[in-house]
Amino acid sequence: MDEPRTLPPERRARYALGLAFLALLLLLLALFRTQVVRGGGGAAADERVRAVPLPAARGAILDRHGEPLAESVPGYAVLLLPAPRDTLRAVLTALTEALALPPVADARIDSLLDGPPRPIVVARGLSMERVAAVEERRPALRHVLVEPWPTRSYALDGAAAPVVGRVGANPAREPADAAGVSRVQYVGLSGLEREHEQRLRGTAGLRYVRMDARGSVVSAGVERPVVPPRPGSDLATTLDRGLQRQLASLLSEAAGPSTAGALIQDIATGEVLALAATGDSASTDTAGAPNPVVGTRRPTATLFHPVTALLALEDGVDPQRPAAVPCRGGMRYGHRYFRCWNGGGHGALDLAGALEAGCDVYFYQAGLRLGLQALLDAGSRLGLHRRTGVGLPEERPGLFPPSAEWIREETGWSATPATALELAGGRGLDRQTLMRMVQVYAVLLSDSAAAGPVLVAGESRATEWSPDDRESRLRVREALRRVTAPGGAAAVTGDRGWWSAGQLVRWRSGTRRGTSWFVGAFGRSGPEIVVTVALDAAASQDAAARVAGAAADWYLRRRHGTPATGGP
Amino acid sequence: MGLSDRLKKHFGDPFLLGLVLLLSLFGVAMVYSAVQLDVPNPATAGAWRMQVVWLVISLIALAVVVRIPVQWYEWIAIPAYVIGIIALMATLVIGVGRGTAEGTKSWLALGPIAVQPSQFVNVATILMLGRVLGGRREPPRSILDLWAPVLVAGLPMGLVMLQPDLGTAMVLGAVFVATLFWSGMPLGLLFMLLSPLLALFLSVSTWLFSIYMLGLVLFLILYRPYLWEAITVGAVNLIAGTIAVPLWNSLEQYQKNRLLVFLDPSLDPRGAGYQLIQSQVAIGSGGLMGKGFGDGTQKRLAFLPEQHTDFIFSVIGEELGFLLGTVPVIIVFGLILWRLVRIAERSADPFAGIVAFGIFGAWFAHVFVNVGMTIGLMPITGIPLPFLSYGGSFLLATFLALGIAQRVAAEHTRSTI
Repeated sequence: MDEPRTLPPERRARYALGLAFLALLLLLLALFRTQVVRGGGGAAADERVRAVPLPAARGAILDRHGEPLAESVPGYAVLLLPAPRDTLRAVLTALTEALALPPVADARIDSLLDGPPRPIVVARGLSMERVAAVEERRPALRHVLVEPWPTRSYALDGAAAPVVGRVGANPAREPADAAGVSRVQYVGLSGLEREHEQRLRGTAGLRYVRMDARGSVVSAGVERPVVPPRPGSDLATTLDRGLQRQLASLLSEAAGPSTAGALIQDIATGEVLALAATGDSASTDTAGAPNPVVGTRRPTATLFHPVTALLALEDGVDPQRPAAVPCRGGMRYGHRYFRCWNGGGHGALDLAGALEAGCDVYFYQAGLRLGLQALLDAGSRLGLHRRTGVGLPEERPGLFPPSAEWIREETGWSATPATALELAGGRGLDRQTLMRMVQVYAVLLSDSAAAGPVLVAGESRATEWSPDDRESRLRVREALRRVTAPGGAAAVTGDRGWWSAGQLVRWRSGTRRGTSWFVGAFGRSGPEIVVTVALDAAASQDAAARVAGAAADWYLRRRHGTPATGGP
Repeated sequence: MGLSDRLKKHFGDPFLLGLVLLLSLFGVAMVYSAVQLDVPNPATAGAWRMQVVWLVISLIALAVVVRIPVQWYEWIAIPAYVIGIIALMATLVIGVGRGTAEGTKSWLALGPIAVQPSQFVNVATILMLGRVLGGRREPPRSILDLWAPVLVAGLPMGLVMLQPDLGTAMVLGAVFVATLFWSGMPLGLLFMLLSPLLALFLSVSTWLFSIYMLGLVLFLILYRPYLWEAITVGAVNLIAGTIAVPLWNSLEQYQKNRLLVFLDPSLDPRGAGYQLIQSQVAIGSGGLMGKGFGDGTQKRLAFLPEQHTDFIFSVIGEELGFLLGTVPVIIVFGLILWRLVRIAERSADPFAGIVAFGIFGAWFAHVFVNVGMTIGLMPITGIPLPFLSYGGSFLLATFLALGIAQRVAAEHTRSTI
């Protein structure tokens, strides 16, 4: 090989210095890019600043006298600020111990920590003792904040829950904003809380805390200005807190653990005065159960007879004349036998007698005379297949065929005269909510045009139909008065001296326990309020009427003192 | 003889000494700032006082070392090297980890004081390489001539790799290359020696590796080494390139991430990439003028890891910015390196020249790797920044090396007066 060249020291020095110069220049260029071109102020701020939501005080829900049914009260919440998952998992475990909460399942922790980094509310509505328990363990509880946090408080111990509703975390329904605020502020989940969410919730604010790398809060409000929360607006309702309590109490006493619902509405204004329920839906902790007043549909049975009666009168039926076929416990039509609830039969009854006795056979024949279309038209005018629009998200429309085509599409068979027969007797494709039947009876029993149901004070809504034939309506009303009069099926409602009229679902003889459902109107000298009560596992058919009568008595006594006719 | 000559005669290069003193005092100030946290850490709060103590000790050591003739260093090279190797072996048995080297066995705990022997072994290895290479009549002409320096550098490198301390191993590698270069070793031979490393990295791409191998063959034809030498270099390169990919594929994903994270810290932002991300955020947030001395928020809030040791440069970048912090520091380091090269260049004694240039290689590696790792140019290996990072044994070892370099400069002055 050739003799390799050895560089003289001067050139070695030049090479070395050149290499060092290039290397240091590379460092300077990289630093220039990092510090001047890119900068990192924003990233640095993001590293150390955590956004803490400031929940807005939710607006109060007030009754018609301004008494609170739901309001926000001061409380404390424990928040976990964003941090690495393992860290938060450890802190969450320590927190549940400190707060004596049940252990949080791993899957639940994962679901909480999924998604973009955001504060997590671990517990809210904490007492000072529990806050102190957290503060005592503060050195071990990094990434934890204890914040003043409004708590939702409900009057009447939840007795108004079926109408007022409840709040809770519902991340699936709420899109998260950049700071994750909406993830931690409770939202309305049911009732008025949900229906008027936008009005009640207000706008959450934000403040920023500076944290060190270990998760300790170093200072607050120094990096960015505080965005103050804006409280929600109050919601004045038509509800009467005292009546609500009374109705809920009476209902609870009568229903026990079974499901029941009740509603009282002002017949002239349509204002809902009280709405109570028992069972799962009445609990503030249970979501998804149907509301017994607006969400549960029940067969109307004899409660539909007055509608058929009114239509028959308008159609020219002689009210004094008994039906062609006397009731012997049922009647044959075509190849089918249609039973009356009273297997022993009612005999020959006129219209008033049939209404008083709840004779199905009479109204079967009326239905055959009226024909299907007349009944369908009446159902449409009464809105039997629509929601009443009272303003509760749980409300379901009633079940009633809007047309013959609908029957064919839904059932697969064509409507026949027997379909009209069944509908006229409140059987077959007729299932209604308590709320809807109150509207029907408001139409039937009011002195003038009834108003549609409203829950928010100041609102008003006209009913979809008001019969023109006042004489027929009064005739039906008088017949229904006999139901609640002494000796009537719902006499228990009328024995307190108030004006009353109504109807109840009759039970077949031998029935020991079933749905007791009453709808009727009460007042001092005429109809003032419409009351309905349904007890799904009652021991007698007039149990609901008894509750309705007691609730109406309580309300009317408070309003008028004593009945015009003198009470017992 | 004027004042300047008298200073040079006693202290070597006064300009170099001034730069180092300036940097050391600045280092104490920055260590003081680095430990000012919003939530104080008792373990580090007094670090700046200890740095002052170590600086005083180091200055005394400098004053002593600068008075010892260079020839003595040639004599003590062997015992110093042997003691250093024994100390390194001891670390493998009784060593402990600290700071970013928490998972290693780099430190020997001597009562309340912990010493990192590898820092002193660096100096001893420089002396030993100077003795081995400077004692030759002529520079290495063949790879076979390199067995002694390879052994001298390879032994401590292997031991620190076992600790494992990749950063110090890299510095030893830089010292090895620098001393070989300054000993007059032909560049072609140096390239042949280092070429397998190049093959290892380029093998990530078949195309790149193929082109590289073609270039290597062309180089060997033109350079005309011994035939056996050419065959050996070609074969070793081929083996290096061939085993690289299977070696890489045999690693677990998290192991790959640790190596790749300096290229893309987002691969493991909460783990291996955390330090780099925080460092980049800190330096970047300093901007042009910095946040002010003591006011670095990333530092104050403890986001910066090892802020007073390996990441002191990030604190400088965050608090003093580009113009007042990072650029002046880089310039000062550039001047220090320039003075070291000048000392090596002027030295007539091959041992002294190689030692001075070896120190240049070690400090250059420290500066480039440390600053580079804070901005993502180099992997995070946990080596400190000379004169600025907190650390007693490193400061002392650096001043010992400075003292030797100053003595070399002083003897040159004496020989020219």
